[in-house]
Amino acid sequence: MSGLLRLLKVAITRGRVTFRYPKEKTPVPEGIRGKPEIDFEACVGCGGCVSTCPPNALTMEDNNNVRTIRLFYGRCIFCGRCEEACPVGAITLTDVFELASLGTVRLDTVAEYKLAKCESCGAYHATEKCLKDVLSAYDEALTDYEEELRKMILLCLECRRKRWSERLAETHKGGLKYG
Amino acid sequence: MSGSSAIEELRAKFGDKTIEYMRVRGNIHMFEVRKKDLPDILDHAYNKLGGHFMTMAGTDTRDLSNCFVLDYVLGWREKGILAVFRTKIPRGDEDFPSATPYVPCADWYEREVKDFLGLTPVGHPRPLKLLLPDDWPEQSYPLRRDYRYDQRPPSTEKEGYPFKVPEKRVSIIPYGPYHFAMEEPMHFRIFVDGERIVDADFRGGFNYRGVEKIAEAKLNYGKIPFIAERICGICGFTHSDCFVQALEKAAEANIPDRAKWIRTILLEIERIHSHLLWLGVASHLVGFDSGFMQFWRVREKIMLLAELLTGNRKTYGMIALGGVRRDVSERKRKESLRLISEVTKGYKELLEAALNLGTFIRRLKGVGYLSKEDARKYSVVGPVARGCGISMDARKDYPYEAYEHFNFRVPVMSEGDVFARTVVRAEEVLEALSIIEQALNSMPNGPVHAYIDYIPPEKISIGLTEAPRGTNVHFLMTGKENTVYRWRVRAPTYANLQVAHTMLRGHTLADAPIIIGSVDPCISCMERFTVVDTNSGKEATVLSEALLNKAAGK
Repeated sequence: MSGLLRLLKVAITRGRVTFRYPKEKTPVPEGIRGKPEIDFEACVGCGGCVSTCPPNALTMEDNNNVRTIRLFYGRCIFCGRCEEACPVGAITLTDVFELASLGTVRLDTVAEYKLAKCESCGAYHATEKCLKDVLSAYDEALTDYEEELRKMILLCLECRRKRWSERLAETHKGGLKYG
Repeated sequence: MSGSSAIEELRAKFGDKTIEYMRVRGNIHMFEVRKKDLPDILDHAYNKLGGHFMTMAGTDTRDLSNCFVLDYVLGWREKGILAVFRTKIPRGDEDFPSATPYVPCADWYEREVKDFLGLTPVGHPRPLKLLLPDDWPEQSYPLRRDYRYDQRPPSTEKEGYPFKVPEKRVSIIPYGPYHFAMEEPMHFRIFVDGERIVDADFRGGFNYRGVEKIAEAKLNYGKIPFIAERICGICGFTHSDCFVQALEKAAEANIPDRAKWIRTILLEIERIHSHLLWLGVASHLVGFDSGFMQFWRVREKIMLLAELLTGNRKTYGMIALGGVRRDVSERKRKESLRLISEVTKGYKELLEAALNLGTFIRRLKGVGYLSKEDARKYSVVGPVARGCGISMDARKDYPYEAYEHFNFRVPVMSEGDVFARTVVRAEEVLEALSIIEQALNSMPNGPVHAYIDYIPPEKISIGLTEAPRGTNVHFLMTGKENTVYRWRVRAPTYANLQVAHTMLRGHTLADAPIIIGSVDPCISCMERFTVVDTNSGKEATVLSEALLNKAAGK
């Protein structure tokens, strides 16, 4: 059989294989990594996702007592690292893939969080929501722990370090003993 | 010559010229030489001992050792030996003797080093810009470490590129940088005498995005595989795999077998989809549009397979340092086997029709000839080399992932024309289908991810994968705190496109799209027509409209 006849046979037996998209919806595969969505009720604003985002689609900015977390879909590569990194499971990759938009505004999601002051120096250091979350986890896990350690969570990183070294110095007054 | 005896001969012959010889790890040997001795040792290793030019990376190590470093990497297929020829270029003495007169394929690499690091290759036949734009300022070298990744120097407003001037009166057809059937923007100047192509010149770099600089400056090991996957829109997974392999070698980590199997399956899925895409595009380029439709119809099933295993059609996002991110369930495995048998059947039926179609075959046979000598001289890779009778394939020569566990053949044709490249690709699809089937049937049980806790800094590593277009080489130098110090990506087109002008010579202009297309890169259609009178040096540009009017007799 000549090539042309063979080709005709293929073309006729295979028929139409395309979809009448967008009238007819194409099947979405299971496990697709589509548009990531943030559940802002659950999100505590820790910024963990921001530090894992390869293309900088997630960005974070602290301005006085407000932390802004921005997810710009225009940069997103749908790798799903934010979903893996989120400590409270607030990010899910949905099966939405039709993200075409006439403007960039619709591709932007912005959330603002109140920052808490460090109880010692007064610098803004973490979101109120995040501290609340950490404290409740702390209470659940360690019920009869020192109140002072609990308080340390409310200090900024710098003050916490200072406080720890002070405590260490107190405990080992008169020099460290070895052996 | 086998790799180990080549290394021995180099050590014996150049022992007094070698400052330091070191076995980096496994099959990687390193010779540190003075820069004046570099062309000699490269000449001997490349021309006498038959080394294959892999890559060359320039690194700014002024903050570590107060000098620049050049690493030329040569490979020997037998026993999979790699040799790194390193030379240090002290600060203030920023030039080096070019190896291009002896090793022609070092041409682009040395021009790139000049662009990005400001090191001048002395004796280079054509030290022109390669990847930076024409209006880039002279003293601005983006891959130096003191250059910020987001720095944007002001334009010098300089226009034009010193293209090759033809020796006799010929017409010049500008070809590019946009073309409907091609993926990447590049510009060819094709010199034609009547309809015959006499010579061609090339200018690329329009799409250079500086991914290496971003990775060095902004990203850590966890992020780079995902960005590496976006180096190429067609064969992205092989880039991320290549990078991760290099890193895993540097960490001397072992990854679980099941992860290797899954990576191999995905690499082969990518090869099939890429080759079917190319077969479609090639059919389109020679006017066989039903072939284009039908090859892409078959390809769609492979895209479904990718969706099934990874969730997405392209950019699988499956690579993680130390393994893969998703396992393949038993149900998915069975479903994949079913899809593979469907694809095999549909593909064989179509291939038989296409390869018996006279009009299709006659456009491919005897076109774009590349001799085995030229292929060797320019160290071409992939189907271009295999179409010239060179049986090279990184999957066999430098086994990685799980390839050594499968039976497969490396298709080789000796004709050296576009048809040979087409058949090589077409047969590779069948081999890849069989590899996936073997892998799915022999998947070991166990975890798919191993935790790697430490990667030592300042280690050199080389990742190799056989991408659909040829060998991918990622040269890597690890840095502190989970960042790369230097990451040099050598994609196969970088090696193959250097011979495009050789393949074009002597053929007709109408064959230019399929010849350049047979390398599997991209170019563009004619917009304007330029006539050069070389006697007076005057150049006149005729716009396409005027040309059409003239043709219509107006």
